Amino acid sequence: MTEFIDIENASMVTVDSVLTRQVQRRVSAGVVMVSTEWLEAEVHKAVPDADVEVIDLHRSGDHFHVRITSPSFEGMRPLQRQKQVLNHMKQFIPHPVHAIDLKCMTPEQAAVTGDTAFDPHAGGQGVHIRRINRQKEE
Amino acid sequence: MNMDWTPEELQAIVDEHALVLFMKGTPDQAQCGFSNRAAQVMQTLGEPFAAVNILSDPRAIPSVCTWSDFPTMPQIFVHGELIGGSDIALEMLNDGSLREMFDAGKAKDDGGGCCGSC
Repeated sequence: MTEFIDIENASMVTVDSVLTRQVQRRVSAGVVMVSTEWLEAEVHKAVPDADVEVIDLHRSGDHFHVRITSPSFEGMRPLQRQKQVLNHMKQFIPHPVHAIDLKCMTPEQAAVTGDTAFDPHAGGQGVHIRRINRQKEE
Repeated sequence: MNMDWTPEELQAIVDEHALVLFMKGTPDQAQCGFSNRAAQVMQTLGEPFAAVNILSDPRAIPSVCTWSDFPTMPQIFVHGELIGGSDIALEMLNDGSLREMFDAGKAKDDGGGCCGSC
């Protein structure tokens, strides 16, 4: 977990361990978990030309932060952009995908957007995420 | 609140209030980080808003999501129009478009006769 999300203070570590226990319970209860690869492929069905980056916030296979970059978003309002994705994804909500935080950007917006993702279970704080794909490029 | 969560009732809520937040819990005690973030956006905007706790009734989430055709909570309505969830609300707060949309609709709600710039 910590190799994926930088936990910057002690209170978040507590949240982290609680989540780990929740994940263990879910797995033992037979809850279906989906992979980031699966989600990425599903998003591509909705926005074929997109650059898609999926982050499994808790490695629990159900809370995802998804960054979608596509020139086709140009001139579209934020809700229109999300709806293009959600109209396809809603068949998977709330099971197996419980939470999905979307960032739909044009390439110009993506170039100036920071690396912080919002974690709904981190006490309302944003968390800094290590974006693995981007680090590979750098 | 005695609600059956019919489309008519839901429409009446967003028609009656310029800002409506459908959320898990209440602004003081949000039950989800996304709802908490949405409530904070509303509070930062500084205008009165109606918060509807969709955990108060098990019928609420499916009814609201079907009516609004949006699959997740929270949901934010400005002058009757769905803008999206907490991520869009925060984005619109930061780029000023939430304020713009609220002010533009307010001029409209006040009834004609003003260009909005005077």
